[in-house]
Amino acid sequence: MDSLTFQNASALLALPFIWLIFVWRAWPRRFKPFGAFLLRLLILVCLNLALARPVISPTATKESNFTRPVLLVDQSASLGEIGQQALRQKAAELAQGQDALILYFADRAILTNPVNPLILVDLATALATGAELIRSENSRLILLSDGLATQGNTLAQATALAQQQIAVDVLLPTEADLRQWHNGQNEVRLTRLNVPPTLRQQEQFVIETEINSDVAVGTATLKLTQDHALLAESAITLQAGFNIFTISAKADTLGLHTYESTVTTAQDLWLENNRLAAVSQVYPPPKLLVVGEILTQVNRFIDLLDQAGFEPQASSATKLPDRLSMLEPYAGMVLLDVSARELSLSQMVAIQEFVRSLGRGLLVMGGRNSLSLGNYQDTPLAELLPLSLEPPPRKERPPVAFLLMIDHSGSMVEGSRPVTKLSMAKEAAIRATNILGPDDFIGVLMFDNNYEWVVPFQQVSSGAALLKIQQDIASIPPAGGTRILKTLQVGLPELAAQPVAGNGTRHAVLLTDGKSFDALDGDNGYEQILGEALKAHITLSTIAIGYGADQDLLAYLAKQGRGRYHFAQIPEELPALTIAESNILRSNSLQEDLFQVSVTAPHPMLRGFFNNVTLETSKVVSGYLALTQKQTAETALQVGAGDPLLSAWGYGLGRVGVWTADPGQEWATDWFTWHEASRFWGQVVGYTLPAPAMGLLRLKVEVKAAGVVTLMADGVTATGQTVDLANTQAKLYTPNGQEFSLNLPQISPGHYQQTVHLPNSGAYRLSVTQTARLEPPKTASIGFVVPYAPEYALPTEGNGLSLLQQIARITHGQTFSLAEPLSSFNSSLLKNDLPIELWTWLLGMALFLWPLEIAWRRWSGLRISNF
Amino acid sequence: MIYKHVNKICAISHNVLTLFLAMKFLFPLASLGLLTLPLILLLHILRDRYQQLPVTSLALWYGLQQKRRGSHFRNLPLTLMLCLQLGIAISLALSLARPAMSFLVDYPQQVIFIIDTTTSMLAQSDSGFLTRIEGLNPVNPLILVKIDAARAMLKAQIESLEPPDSFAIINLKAKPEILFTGEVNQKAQALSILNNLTAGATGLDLPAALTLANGLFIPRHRHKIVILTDGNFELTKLTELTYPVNPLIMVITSPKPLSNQALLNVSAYTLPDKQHRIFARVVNYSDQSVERTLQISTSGNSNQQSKTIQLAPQDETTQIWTLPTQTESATIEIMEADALPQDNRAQLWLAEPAPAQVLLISKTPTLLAKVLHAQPNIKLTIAESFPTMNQGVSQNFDLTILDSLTTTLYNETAWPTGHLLIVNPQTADHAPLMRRVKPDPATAATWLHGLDFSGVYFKQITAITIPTWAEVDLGINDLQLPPSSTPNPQSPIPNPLIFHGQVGQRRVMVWAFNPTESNLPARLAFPLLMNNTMSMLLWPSLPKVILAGTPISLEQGLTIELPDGRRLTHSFATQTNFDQTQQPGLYKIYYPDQRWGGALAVHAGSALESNLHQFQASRQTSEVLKTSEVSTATSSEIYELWAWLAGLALIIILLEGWLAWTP
Repeated sequence: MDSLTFQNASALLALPFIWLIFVWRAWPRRFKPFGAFLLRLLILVCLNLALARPVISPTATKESNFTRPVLLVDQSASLGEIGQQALRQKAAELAQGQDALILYFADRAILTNPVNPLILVDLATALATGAELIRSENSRLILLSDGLATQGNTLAQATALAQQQIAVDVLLPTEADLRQWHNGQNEVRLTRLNVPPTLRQQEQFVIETEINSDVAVGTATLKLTQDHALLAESAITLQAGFNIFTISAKADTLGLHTYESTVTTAQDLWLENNRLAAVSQVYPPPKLLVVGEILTQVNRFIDLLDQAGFEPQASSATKLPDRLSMLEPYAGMVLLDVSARELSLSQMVAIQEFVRSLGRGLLVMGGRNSLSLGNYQDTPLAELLPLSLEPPPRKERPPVAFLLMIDHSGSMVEGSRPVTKLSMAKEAAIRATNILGPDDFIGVLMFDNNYEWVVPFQQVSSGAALLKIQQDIASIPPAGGTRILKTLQVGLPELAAQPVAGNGTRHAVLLTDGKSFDALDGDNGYEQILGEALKAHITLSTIAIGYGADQDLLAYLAKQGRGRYHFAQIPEELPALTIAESNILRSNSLQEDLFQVSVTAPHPMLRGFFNNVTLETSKVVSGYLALTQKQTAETALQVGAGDPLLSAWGYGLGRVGVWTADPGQEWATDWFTWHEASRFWGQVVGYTLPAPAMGLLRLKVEVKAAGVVTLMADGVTATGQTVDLANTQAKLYTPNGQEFSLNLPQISPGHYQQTVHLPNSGAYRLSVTQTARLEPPKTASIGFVVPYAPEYALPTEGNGLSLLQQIARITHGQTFSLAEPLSSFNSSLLKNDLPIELWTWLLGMALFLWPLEIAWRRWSGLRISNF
Repeated sequence: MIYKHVNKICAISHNVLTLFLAMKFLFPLASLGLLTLPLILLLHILRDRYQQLPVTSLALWYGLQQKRRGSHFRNLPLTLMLCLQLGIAISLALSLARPAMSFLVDYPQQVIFIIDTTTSMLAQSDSGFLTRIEGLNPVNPLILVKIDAARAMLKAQIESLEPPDSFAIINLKAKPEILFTGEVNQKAQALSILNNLTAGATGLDLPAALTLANGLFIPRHRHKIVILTDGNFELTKLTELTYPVNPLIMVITSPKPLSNQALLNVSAYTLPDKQHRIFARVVNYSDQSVERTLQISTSGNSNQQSKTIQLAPQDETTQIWTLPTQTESATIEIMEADALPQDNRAQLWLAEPAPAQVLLISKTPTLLAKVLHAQPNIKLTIAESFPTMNQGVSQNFDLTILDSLTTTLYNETAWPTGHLLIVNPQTADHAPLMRRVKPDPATAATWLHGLDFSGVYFKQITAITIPTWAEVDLGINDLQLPPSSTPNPQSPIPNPLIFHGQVGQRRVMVWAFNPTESNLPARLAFPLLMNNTMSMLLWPSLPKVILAGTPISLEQGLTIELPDGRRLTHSFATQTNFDQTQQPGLYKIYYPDQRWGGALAVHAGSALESNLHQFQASRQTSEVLKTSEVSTATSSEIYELWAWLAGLALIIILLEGWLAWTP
């Protein structure tokens, strides 16, 4: 409640005396005329009270006891002249009658400001300086701004103010205010120009331009240049908000290239932010090693990579180097359906270190000879894959039918070896029965010139029944010659007849060490029987035992039978091979059917392909290997029941990708023949590759605000020692083609640095040459971009209103609007209200009553003496 | 005689007229009150009412005035009463018009002293230092160190102030600060502050100091700014700015040029074989050739090397040393004394800093352990449950990470000591939300800027109510909120993915998502997120070298041992800057439990401070500031006269009443 105080209370002491005198004087006349007497008394009271200077003051509250408020007034370019003027006016209104201090701030120092010369830099600095000036705990800062901070950490500063118990009262401009300040003009700004910083020669890439517009704009022109030459120009339509435009290009020329994007439109508040630059370094195409056994596959993939701008080189698995020094020239490697059995342990270890230690890339493609079908289990290759070779958990695996056709010809027991081929074959067959499940079907057919069912097709079962099967296998005797065709003609139809429903697998394995009487040449019987087997979904693998075996025939049979061909140099290898076949059979990872491929999640490998919103593709595969994604791997494409089709992860310093379908010979033919195949596989392989090495002289550029740029060069020797006391010279090329020579002095071990001021925005190029004693001269180049002044950029801390609201909230300040009347504002915000002085009213009352009193006396008969 | 009186009357009238003409009326509209004057005149022109008086004989009235029939008006009687009444009305009307006069008032003085405390002010000279005041006679106190000369001059200036003058002192350095504001009767306090004032900062911001000075101005004072400096700075923004008060610059100079050699850019690099490569630049900031002895020594002086170097005028040389592994610290020194000895010595701390102790409590620690092992300077302990003293595990962990554990999120007493990171919290009242959500980059806090969350998704988040102590760092881009979520009115972002806050002395961060049900671990953003999280929760790693006066960010409660052996405890409520780094040397940091925390080196040598060129910059400063527009503070006062007029009216009205009610 307001209180009445007298600023000159001592004047009231005279009032009783004055009254006394007057009453004493008027008493003889009995105060007549009484009305005039009363009026006179009233006039005397008014005069006396006026001299006592009565004042009505607001009740002293905690808020009203603060020291002078400090007004922080934004004058940044984002307000426009109208907004700047509006805030200055509001500040002047608020400061009227107050002992307030006004500090102006902008995103940069304003050159001339005739109103008030105190210019700070940015909102955060303004808050800090205001806080420094305010000492008492009950102080307040008043912020008049649009909140579009483009520099500094305003919220951190607000938090610091809150800790000092300094409240910030904040003006919240309305949408109408903002529109008025911008004078209805739209603002179009280029916010991003994305060009891959590194490219390889002949690589196709996409240039992405992002434009932000406050409102929708009918037509605008977007122009893109490369090295000052026009690359593209088109008329565009801008929606309110962010608009993204992409242009495809190809990296033809080696070296550093600059790109500049410009947008032009009729209505635009500022032109300074309509231009952005970017740089890209084009490196020579990386060397790739493509490993595969099937030449057509390898050549086709090499063609694709060649078109994508790589430098691929073919190799077979056997010729793959097993030393890192020989693999070092390659940036990456691709294994096309390569079985682990084709690779030696040292080769596999070399591949592992190639990725892990050298940081190179590896893409492993599936197929019938690769991954879980390629014996990758328990090899170094399994460890570096992003997928586990265990198939994903499924419902109960359907039973399989397994046919073992064992050659028991005389050659299988020849020689003085401790173990014969036949004994090993029997051992292998017995072990296979242990791997299969009790519901699986097994048949064992022994053959020489004739055939005999050792174990007619029956369920493996368990216990005594299984033992009987194994005993029967063990009792296979040696016999005569070798007739493979006949064996197939007997065994395969029997296998086809087994009651394996649905997706159950029928698989046959043929073990022999000899040449069949019915050899491949001139006999179409194999083709026919295998064709029929194919129709019955039977696969056939063959194991050639020793060099005496008809390897050509057996390889042919395995290929036609869509199985695997194995060569066992010594009989002791037989059990392992057979077990491997059984494991493959049991694992059920092979999925063959028509499967739709979908995108798991947007991924850099799929950039520019497919619909990343609906995650659909129109592509299918007819087979793949169902594997399980490891924990930190990521899958870009999936197939079937959500099984990974294309996955990748980081392994050591490098990256490994896996494609679980094949390289296009059977399951994924379309993926290697469609018109985008080159770009797609180039992108997939490119993802696994490391960034191009910068060499022993590494350049770095730091661009800070106000065009302050620090150029840095770090020199190391091949052994990692720093290059010191070197002469490091730089040439700087500006956007408008000027060239400057600079020296980069050394400031720490191996580190050379120079700071320059580059006021013009755009793309710059820096070329550095370093010569040191006992070191060969090194040269490196880098491009960098100086962006336009941050005041023309999008605000960094959210939109203005939310930042202002957060400042008020954090500091427990109040908010007010521009249109709020000064009186209500003062009464609700600035608690330092002005007191109301009453003396004018009292004097005015006295002046009003004075002629009334004279008139009363004149007409009430009081004689006015003539003196 | 009469002539003299007339002259006297004319002079008085002239003075009164002059005075009257100098007067102004603050509320001239109130002079409409003078309209009461014709009213009063009218009242007097009107005839009195005739009174009937019974008498005994008509003979007594032979001289009686005859009534004039037909006229209510009479000639205006110029009586004393009329004059008094008019005088009263005039006084009241004029007082309402608020007459005022301007007088030149001798306002008290307010002086803002800006004293340079950069490292160059520690320069010494056997010839002493002069203090030159622009436009005044030079003063020559023989003081051997610049800062002492500045201090002496400042004290003299303060002593020369008299009540009711007031003054302020601003510390001129890279971030100027106000040291004192008050009146002359508080000068003892100011002098005490000056006595404890030390120099040792790198670079200064004069525009910021002048901005502060202008902000301290008290109205109705004569303002003055005095800058005490050696002029050893560069002009940058001054030409763009104008200030209302032209500062007086007192420059501390030496009669003879100062010769200084300095160690600049002293730094170390650990080679692949763990040896240390030391680099230093030695610069000769003088106009004469010099020969200097450069010495490097290691901790315990076990390894000492000296060499003699020749330097041409304004020349420099670079020196490289290689020190063996296990060297803890190194000291490089120019053995000969010069004008600024502080930049002749530079120390380096070479040993690895003590790692932060981090405890990971998780039943499936693989994922987090892998990314934590990749973080620098962290010693990780993994446990399945919170270790107790009985198990012999140390409780002194700097950070505890609770991964997918049931925890009472808001019960501080249930938390372990140290800072806390809660990952995938499992609480009774916050069920996991199995839905695919994407982070919203627009909600990312500043410390997450630069992390690329594009393509990242989370399949399991905890629908959590944001606690009142928390600040949201990352929200989700999902407008379909589950019905059970209760947005915290303090935060506009419901269902945050990451939030943090301060609970007592503990910093707490919550990742309200399950990283294993996300593709985030496969992205580069994951180790970067963990690295940034460590920086937020633990104190940031100390820089190896800073320049004198540079503030550093330190955790509360740390003990810092200064080069002179004093120990200070950093006692700010939150992680804020420690700025007492004026003294060059090694600063050793200890954790609250006295564990070793590391060390950092403060170097005085810098191109900004070691080059003791004199006076040139300050001359430019004063020229620039002199050409700028200057608006001096006015010292006039407006004095209102209404009270005098009202008092006069009161006196006259008393007199008039005395006469009017005469019996």
